[in-house]
Amino acid sequence: MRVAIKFCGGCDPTFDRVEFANQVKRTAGEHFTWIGLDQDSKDAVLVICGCQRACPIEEIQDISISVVVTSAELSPEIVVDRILRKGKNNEN
Amino acid sequence: MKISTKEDYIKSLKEQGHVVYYNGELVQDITTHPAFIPHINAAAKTYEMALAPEFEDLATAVSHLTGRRISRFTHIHQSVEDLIKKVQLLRAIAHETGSCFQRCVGWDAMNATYMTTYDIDDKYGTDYHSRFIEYLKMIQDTNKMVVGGMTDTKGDRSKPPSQQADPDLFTHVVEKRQDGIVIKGSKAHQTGAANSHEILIMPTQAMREADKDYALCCALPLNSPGVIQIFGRQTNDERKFGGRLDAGNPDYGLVGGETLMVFDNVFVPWERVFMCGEYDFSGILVERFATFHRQNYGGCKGGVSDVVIGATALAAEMQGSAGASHVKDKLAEMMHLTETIYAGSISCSAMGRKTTSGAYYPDPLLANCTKQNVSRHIYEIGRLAHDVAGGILATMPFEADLRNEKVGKYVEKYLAGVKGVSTENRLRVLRLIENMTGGTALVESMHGAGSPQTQKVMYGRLGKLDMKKKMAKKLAGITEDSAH
Repeated sequence: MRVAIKFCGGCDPTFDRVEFANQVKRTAGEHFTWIGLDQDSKDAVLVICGCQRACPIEEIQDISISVVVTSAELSPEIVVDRILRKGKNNEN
Repeated sequence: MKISTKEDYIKSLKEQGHVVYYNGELVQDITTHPAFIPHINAAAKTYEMALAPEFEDLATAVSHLTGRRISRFTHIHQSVEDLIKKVQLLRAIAHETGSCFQRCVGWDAMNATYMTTYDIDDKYGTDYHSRFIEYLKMIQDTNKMVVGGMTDTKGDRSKPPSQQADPDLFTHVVEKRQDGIVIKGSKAHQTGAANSHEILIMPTQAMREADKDYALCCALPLNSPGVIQIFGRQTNDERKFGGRLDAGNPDYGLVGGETLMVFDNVFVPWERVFMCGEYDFSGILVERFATFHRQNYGGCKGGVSDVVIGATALAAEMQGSAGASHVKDKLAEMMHLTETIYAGSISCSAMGRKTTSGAYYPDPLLANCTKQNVSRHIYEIGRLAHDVAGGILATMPFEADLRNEKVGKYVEKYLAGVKGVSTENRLRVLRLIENMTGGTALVESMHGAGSPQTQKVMYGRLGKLDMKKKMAKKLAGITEDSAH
């Protein structure tokens, strides 16, 4: 699966967004190929927002294939599972 | 060459060859001089964050002039959302630096000049706005750092520029030539100027006809012949030359690093002149710049205060006082003050409006209120940090004592806090608090973007006192035709 990451701007985040992204990457292992947001043929987009305001949502074009995270309460395992499901739905 | 990375930025400064004095000596290379490195690092963070995926949403924007993605620090605000993103960006960068990163001054100067040149042209048929757009495109494409030059030294404050004993106490035009103008004077408190590329000079106050030679807005490279900078002293500045611990925030310093900038008969070509004698727009440009700059302070100082709160909480934890109810209450109060100033910056942005130039402008009354609160709340946040941290903040030994073969063990033993926390880490946190809440840092919060009285003056102008009296009269049952 080809997955891109989109971050919010990080004005006053409630958790360490980069650390969380790295945890998801470690958990996903080799299931995903991480690609740039500007690349085509994405299967899913992981949107990591520092708070519930989730600023990027209004601008994001791939919302139907996006998994939006607004806190570190979700475990990386659950996030990986959600990305996998988005990717499968996208394939269908 | 476009400056994209921190390395590009440092290289550009190294090659610039501008004249900067520090402590009585001409500095050969500011990029390797300990007094300047922290300020360069802080400004460089604005370049680094524009390239970081986790910050690019705030740190970049799309130019309305070229359609290209640019540093937000060179952007002309095109919406209320842009005004809000500005404040959010300042808070985000302050979290990374814990000190001033300097680029907002030039950004605000560019936005104020953009709006005002449009209005001058509209009234007088001049071509300042198109000249400024060409300059702005160059700045956006090269990503050069611009310092906003507003504050003249002013000499005798009771006299206007033209009546000063020394005519150069306000920056002014001394010669008009076919190819440009020659200027003389100085600008004080120039934040980030030593490590900038350009200055955008603006008048310092409203002017009358007699002062029209002082009604000047123009831009010039800082390596222009006749530009001389003299760097200002800061609290504990000699600590930059020693080890890292005593400096408190060794990588980013404190405040922005300010210079006194002298213009000794400096030539400026006409294409870089954006106001020259239109004295009736002088006060307007000052007011607009001030509004933009006062908008910022709940963002950057909010972010800096977040770091102070974190450091204060750590200090309390390290010395075992974090559980005390009064400490919890003081930390909560510090958060309240921080969010209050941030709320001010967000509110003046949310209430911003579109100007005739198309650029967006924050609400000036709310922006002034924000800065007035900053001039008070930062002192209170610092006071609470001192209260929680304790007297040790003012009496810690040198880092060299901690490292000393004979007495280091005593510093380690007797300045220990709770078990499991190293004395060195405790001292590091305390030095960070000292750095961020002492001398120069506090004064900058008081006078940066205008002294408190300048905001009070704006309340007098914008505070709608007549409407307030009318409301009171109505409720008190006083009819409009009643005598006072």
